[in-house]
Amino acid sequence: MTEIKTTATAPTLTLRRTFDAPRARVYDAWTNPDVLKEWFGPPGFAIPSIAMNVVVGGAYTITMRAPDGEDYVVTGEFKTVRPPEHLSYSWLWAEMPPDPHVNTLVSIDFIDRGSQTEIVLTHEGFASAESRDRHEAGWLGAFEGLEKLVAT
Amino acid sequence: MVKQSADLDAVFSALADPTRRKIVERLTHSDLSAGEIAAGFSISQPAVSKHLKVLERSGLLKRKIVGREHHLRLAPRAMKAATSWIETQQKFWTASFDRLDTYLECTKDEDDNR
Repeated sequence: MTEIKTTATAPTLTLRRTFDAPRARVYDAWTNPDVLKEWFGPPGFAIPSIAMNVVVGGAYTITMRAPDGEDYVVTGEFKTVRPPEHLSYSWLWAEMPPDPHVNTLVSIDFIDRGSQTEIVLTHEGFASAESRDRHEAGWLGAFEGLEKLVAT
Repeated sequence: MVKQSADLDAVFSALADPTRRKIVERLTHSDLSAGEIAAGFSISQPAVSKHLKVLERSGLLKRKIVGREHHLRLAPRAMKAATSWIETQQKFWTASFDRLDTYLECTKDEDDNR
């Protein structure tokens, strides 16, 4: 139920996970700031502030506070809003190392599995139109080769 | 930090093009001369040369000029920045999913009682 499958066809990350809750609740957890602050971010992080306008073109800013008191801010704009099945938004870490100022795109599919909901989340390394061709077979081959190279 | 993010942006946009990905893929097997790379493509040599320049600027590729020959090889450091970006995002989402799972579990009864 909490199994995670990861495919890193860089620079796209795809994660799948099934939650034991109906789709409306899971979608709400993602789009209702009061619920989002209960779970968003790494363990031990608090969310001192969330501003989000869940409409196409609407902006959001989420401030996460690390246990050491340091704030990390993520910000972006909603690109697709289709309750309760799909969301996508641009994603930009304001300061967080090691990748500040890299604009990326997050897309989430909420799939109805009866009393459960499966989520497919993709996080693309860059939010350009060119990123749409990410399924190109050549990419994966190049990446695998490079991984080996990096490992040596 | 800023320097590194500029690298990462350049790496991502360099790899966003299918021709450049093919060039990178070929160079994972062996180092090649610019001529050898161009020979494998139906596009013109100046076009290939442009792609090589983009890859070189991103730091993915190093060029060594011996006489009139341009030798090209991959530089793994730039790719490392890209893979570590993926790892960072993965850790972030996985941790968030764990917390969401717990949240949904803990609030299940409240929800049922509504």
